[in-house]
Amino acid sequence: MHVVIPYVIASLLFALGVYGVLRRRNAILVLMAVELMLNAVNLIFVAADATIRSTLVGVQPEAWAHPLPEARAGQVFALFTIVLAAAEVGVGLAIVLQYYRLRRDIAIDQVSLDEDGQVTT
Amino acid sequence: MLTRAPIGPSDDLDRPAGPAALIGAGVGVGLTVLLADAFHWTRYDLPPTGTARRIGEQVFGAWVLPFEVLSILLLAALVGAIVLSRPDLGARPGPAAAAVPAEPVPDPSTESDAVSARLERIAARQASAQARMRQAAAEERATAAAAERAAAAQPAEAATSTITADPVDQARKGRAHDVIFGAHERRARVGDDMPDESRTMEGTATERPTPQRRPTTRRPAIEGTIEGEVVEDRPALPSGKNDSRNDGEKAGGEDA
Repeated sequence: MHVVIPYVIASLLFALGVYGVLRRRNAILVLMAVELMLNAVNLIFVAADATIRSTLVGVQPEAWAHPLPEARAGQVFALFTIVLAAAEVGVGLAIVLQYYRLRRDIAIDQVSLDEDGQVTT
Repeated sequence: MLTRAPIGPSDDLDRPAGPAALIGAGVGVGLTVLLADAFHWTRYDLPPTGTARRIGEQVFGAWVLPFEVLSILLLAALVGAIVLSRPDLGARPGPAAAAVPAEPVPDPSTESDAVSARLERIAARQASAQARMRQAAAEERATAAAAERAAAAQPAEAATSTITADPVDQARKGRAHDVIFGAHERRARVGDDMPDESRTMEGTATERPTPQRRPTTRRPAIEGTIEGEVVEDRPALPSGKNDSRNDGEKAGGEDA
């Protein structure tokens, strides 16, 4: 199997996420596009875990950690990224909900940070 | 918010596609070229399938401190999401939000034909229900008046009836009994035997499947007859209610 296949897929996913973030006005769809980019990063993590040889073989571990049985930790990193994505989407949806309650709108190019809430541009 | 979002391009949901497509394609092509240049056409054999044991050993071994920090972060995100989304804890609508008009009240005249037809059906059903209740009350009054007149005219015939007590009082008691226990006694039961013989169960059993026959037997009782019919009428009263409801629904359907 070629090494470049998962990387190309991940870069295309990331580009799709960038396109969605720039294209959509709906805040929830923007959040979904951000999740798409996070999935691309997860795919990069797992692919690099499987394909790149670690250079941390001889590193002495810290005192609080167990010695690494093997240096491949990309899957654990992907797991942590999934947890971060869950937290991010939870807070993001709460913010979107609160903004919808305040302004009855979730179009993110109408968002103004002024006090009066009017769009100045 | 999301469920009413149309699928596909729409003017009020999307920004112009040109710059977004340009930047997205640029990012995609750039990353693809970068990674393809990094790896060229290197082939490699797939590593052995990862197991949950390995993941668990790593998470609870080398990465236990980031794991705990992530748990605290998840807790903070949970608390933050609750504080943000609860209306009595988070930010309240300010004076700027008060200027925002509320949701428009739906106007019945602008509804579609199907919805207006359904509303008319509901109104007709309610009107027929009210008419049914009024008719039932009138029938009850007429029955009571007929019973009183019959009792005053022929008090001796009360002794020949199956009920020996005062017929008016018995009829009233019987109506109350039917109102209270009618549904219980009219239920289907195994081995249909009635211990009380004064209750003509077969009358109701024959009358219930044939509601068309009921008004012809009912109307003489309304117009005033002797009280023997009142006694006969008493077990049939709940079924009469059922029949009148069915008639009312039919009438409502015809009205609609």
